[in-house]
Amino acid sequence: MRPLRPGSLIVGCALLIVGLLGLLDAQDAIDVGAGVLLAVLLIGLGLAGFARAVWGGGSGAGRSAMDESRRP
Amino acid sequence: MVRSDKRIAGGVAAGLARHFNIDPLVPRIGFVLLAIFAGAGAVLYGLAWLALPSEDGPSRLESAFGGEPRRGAVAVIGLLLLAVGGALLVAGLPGLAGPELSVAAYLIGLGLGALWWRRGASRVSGRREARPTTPTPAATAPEPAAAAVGATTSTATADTAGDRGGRSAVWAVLGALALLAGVAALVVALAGGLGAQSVLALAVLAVGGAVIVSAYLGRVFGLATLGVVLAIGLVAISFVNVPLEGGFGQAEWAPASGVEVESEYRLTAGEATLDLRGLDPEAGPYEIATSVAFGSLRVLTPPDATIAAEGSVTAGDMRVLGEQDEGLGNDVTITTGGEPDIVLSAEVGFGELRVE
Repeated sequence: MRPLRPGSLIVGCALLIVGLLGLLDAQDAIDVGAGVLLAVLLIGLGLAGFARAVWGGGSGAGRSAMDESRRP
Repeated sequence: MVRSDKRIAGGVAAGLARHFNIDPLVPRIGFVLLAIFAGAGAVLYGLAWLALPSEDGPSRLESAFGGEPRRGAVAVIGLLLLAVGGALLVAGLPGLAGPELSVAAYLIGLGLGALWWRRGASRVSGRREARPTTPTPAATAPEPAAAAVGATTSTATADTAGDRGGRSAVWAVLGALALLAGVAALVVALAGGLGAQSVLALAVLAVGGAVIVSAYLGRVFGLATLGVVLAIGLVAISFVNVPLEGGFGQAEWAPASGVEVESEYRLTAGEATLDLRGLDPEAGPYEIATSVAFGSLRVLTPPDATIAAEGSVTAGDMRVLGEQDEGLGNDVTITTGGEPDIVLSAEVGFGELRVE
């Protein structure tokens, strides 16, 4: 069973929300400003970074000490 | 020439720069500029990424075809011919030419390509797994320490194979999503039109879905980055809030009579001049909307006409019938007299607006 990657999960959810809001805005279903889209994206990236730092699951600079300690 | 490990995306630009001994920024800017014009840069980059070998292994195409470079090269030529033929077909069909169909074609191509690549990768990995292994002397009579190392190695190999299978599944999901988005774009394009913002939003949705799947099945390098870049593009388009229509370059519109006047004059990026001085104000009123998303727009009005003008510039410089403003979020409404002969709406996203 592969471990869940919380950072990817959060980034994916943020992208889905941004995409959905952007699509609804483009179709004039709702009026969403660029600031809201940017805010959702930044919050998503911030949460993903936080999740990576706490639970690991990434590579490079985002890999935490806890993630390293799981290696055999 | 090989793809470089010192990369931002796929290592193609860095590999080019090293091969020609130039700054990597030059090919990167070149690819971005080419990508802005009908996506050619993205297609070329993708093909180069598939075809060029990496520093420590064969190209993606060679891997997909079991290490046979000739079949990989044939596949690249086939893809190029397919892309050129498809573009010519789309451009040549009367009434169907448009950016929406190009986007739909790219998305469908991306979906089919990802699915095809996944099939090739599965075949190669299946062949590798089926290959018999000869036992080493260490394996036949393992020391305790060697047995421990062997166990670790076999676990790591199994993990790597599992990761490869997971990534392969993610590519399959990404391909299926892109295919669905492409078909949806095609349907909407044929039904009446699809703006650039909708296209980007669909792309963000597709990549976002694939990133969520990758959270469970295995990381795909660059997928989240691609999603974030697309999302930033979506934010930028949403910020500009000016129709991305009418193409690129220079445009000069000069209707000489009321019959020739159109209700809209649009340009996506470049310099545009709308000369209304040939119009007879008595034959009005004329209602005209004009816009340039990125660049400059100049509107020349007849000197003896009464004008009702709305000007808007998201970021840049604006001069409308003597009113001047600059910076962010410039809007102005001006009427030069009583009943207007020309009702003008002029918008610029980033750049300069002049109404004289």
